[in-house]
Amino acid sequence: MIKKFVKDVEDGVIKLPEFYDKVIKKCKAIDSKHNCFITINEDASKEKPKSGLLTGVPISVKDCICTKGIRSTAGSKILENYVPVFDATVISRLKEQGAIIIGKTAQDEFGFGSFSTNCAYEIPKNPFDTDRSCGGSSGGAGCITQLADFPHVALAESTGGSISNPAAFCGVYSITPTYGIVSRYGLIDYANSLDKIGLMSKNIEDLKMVFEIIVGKDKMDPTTVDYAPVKPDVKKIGIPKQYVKGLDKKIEKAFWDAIKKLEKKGIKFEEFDLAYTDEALPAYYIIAMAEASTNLAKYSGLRYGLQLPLQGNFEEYASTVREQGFGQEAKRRIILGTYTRMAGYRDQYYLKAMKIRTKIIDEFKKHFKKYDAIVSPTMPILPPKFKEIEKLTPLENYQMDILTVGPNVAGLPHLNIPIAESIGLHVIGNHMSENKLFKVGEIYGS
Amino acid sequence: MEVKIGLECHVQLNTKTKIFCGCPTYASEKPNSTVCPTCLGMPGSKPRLNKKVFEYGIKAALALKCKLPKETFFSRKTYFYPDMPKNFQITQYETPIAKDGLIKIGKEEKPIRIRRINIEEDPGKLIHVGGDITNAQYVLIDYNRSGIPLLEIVTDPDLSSPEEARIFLDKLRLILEYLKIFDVDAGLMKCDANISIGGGNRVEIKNILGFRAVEKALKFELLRQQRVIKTSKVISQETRHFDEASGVTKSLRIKETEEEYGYIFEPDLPSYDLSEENLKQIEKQIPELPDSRVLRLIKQYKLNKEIANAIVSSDIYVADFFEKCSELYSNSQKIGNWIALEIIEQLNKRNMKFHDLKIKPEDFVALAKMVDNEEVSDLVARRKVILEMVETGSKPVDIVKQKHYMIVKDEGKISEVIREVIKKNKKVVAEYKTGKKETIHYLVGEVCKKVKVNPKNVLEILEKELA
Repeated sequence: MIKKFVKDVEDGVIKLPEFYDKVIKKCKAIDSKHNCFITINEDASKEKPKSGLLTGVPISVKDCICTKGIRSTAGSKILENYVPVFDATVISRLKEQGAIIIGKTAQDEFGFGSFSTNCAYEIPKNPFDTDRSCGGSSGGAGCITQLADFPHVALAESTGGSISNPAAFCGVYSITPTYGIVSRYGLIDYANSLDKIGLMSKNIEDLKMVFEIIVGKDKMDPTTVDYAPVKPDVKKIGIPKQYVKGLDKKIEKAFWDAIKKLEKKGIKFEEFDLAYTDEALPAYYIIAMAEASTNLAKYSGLRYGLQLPLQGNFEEYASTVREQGFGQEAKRRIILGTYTRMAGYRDQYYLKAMKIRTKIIDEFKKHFKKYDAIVSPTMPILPPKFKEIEKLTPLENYQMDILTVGPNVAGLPHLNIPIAESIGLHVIGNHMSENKLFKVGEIYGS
Repeated sequence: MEVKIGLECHVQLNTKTKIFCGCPTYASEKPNSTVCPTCLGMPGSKPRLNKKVFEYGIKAALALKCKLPKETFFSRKTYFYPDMPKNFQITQYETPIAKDGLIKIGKEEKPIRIRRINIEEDPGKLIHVGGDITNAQYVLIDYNRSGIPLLEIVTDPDLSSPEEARIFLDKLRLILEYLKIFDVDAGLMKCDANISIGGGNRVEIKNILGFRAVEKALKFELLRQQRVIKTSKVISQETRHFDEASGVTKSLRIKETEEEYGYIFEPDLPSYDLSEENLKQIEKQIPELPDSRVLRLIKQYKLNKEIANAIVSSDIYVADFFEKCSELYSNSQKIGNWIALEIIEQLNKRNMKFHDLKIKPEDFVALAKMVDNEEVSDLVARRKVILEMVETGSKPVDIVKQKHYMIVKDEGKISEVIREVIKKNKKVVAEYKTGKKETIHYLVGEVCKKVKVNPKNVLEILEKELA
């Protein structure tokens, strides 16, 4: 889809200024009903893109990814007026190929949530039912990807499932890459050892094409490595027994139907026991919150973001800024995260969680000796109504990530394939085996 | 009562760029001009390690005979302070770059244990306006310093006096200077000093700036604690600030517990390999260090230990100067003595560094040769000529000529003066003739006051005249 569009742009069949006038109008119309954007790029039609693999292709960008000259709030009031002075590496790589930013998409504040309801701005609404959630934290990205009737790819970000979850609820494809193959330079941090920038699209071909543009080592992010693709051979896939119990009936049916469809196309399936599934959730939340609580320390109203009249000493001023600038969930995670790394608790929480992470990685690795991929449903539930979400306790809320935290904690790549309305098939691969995941997606769609 | 002092020294390394970004490290006069998103802690920015900093840290670790881990990584130390752009500092906690080292100090070569060395980032600089840290009206922040690489060197509480602390710091500075990882002129050194007496509570004096201030701060603090104990009160465990201008320490806060920093691993940086192969590469670049140089000077130039120690421990340039002179001149002991007893004394008196002096090795050697040729006396050379060379950089020949320091060799002239002295001191001459032979030295002295001569010659002639 993108390929044809780019050819039409290069051939002069599509004139970008007029095209973007329409696209921005459409975005505004969608946004007025679904709140998928925090900021729309009004200047999109004036952009003069470079000529490349993505000449003139519209991309939306999750708000936590820094875009030079375009406000980037990460969904937080504390960054309400923050306009970055530099582009994230992923943005420069896409701009280098000619992509144009249409806007910054809605999300939970700093990625803290599973339904995009922990947002300082308007809450994004599900493309199929506006009473329901888009999922989160990249809710806006999922929503616009489903509703855009023009070529489009969304840049999103996942820490514990924030790409797969909204992709499933909004019915689109998504890839969350192997940790470390996409630069995080310019990503407003949630939990650095878990954060991954990924993509959403309505088709696997576009997903794959843009994926190949954004991957690769970046000297601005020393945790990056080059992407070393594997052969896209898919023969045998494992299904963790622990991932297919207690599912919503509709989801259960859609899942097994999808497995049958893939079996017919020659892939073998086998159920197996995956250890440490109960430990993955607490380990994930401890690591994520410990890191988040340090990342959020920088927001003290001194150099950027929310500023208030100068009153009191530094600590009093910074406390007031943080009290007014952070939402409730951010405050909860700062407190919990700080607790888990305090002297006296650090050993039992933070360090233990780090050790469990190693065991989880080893466990997955063990099974990838046998299977080309591992599958499960992406989410255990259908998109909940906003009224239902309000009633959830924080702990019930965190449990919604039960199927996505495992691969996220282990830094494994995972693909969401839409298999029914708001239901996704989650395909998890070994490190660097994105090719196999795309292959499963292609086989499913063929 | 036993005094225990431990130091935590933060030394700025002299790399060209900062530790986690490409910003220059030179001292810019314009505040907040050598900064970027990373050293300002902007959202989305990431650190990337300057490999030179790592190399310098390893050099220091090897020079201080530390144990190095196989692998090292960074940690986040979280606390809120206005000079910290991110409100956490990237430092090392679990795996410092080095542990368990040693520096030997003083004549007795007392071992001072190094507990750990780690590399970390400097925060910004706070400028207190209208007062000091305890009473400023407001504070300005200059982030030019943010991200300057620091080496933190922590000792065990092995120092037993403020003087020892100074000797330790001088030795540390010298080693860093030899390693060429610290700029003695432009680089800053900050120290936190812990001091307790008689096994009492520990007081921490924070952020003492500069090598010399540490001794001053500790001297004051020692006296203060001794006075508190005399009045039978208990020293409270607290953090104090040293006010350089008034020379006193002031209480900042009472410490009830150890500070809480909530360390986590720095997730934006990978771990770094310290394999033996890497270490060997760096070890090769370590030059001769002060202790070895002392031994070599004793052996190679037949210096006595004290002179060799004085030359080496003063300043790297002093020892270089000595060796350059020795290449031009064979009597190294004489050069050594002159440097140790005259030049170093002048430096200490004036609180100067050797390379502030204008003296050149060839001129210094020329002066030594003039003494050998009896053109000028040893005493005048040491007490007068060297002083002037140090101050003006003039050539010794010119100084001697201008100031008429030249030894008079014309025997006729000398005899004339001698006869004059004999005439004026009839009483002394009479005493000499009655057998008080030692009075002749008085007469020699009187002659030398009037004319620059070699006292030996005067003695010979006088003895003849009075015979």
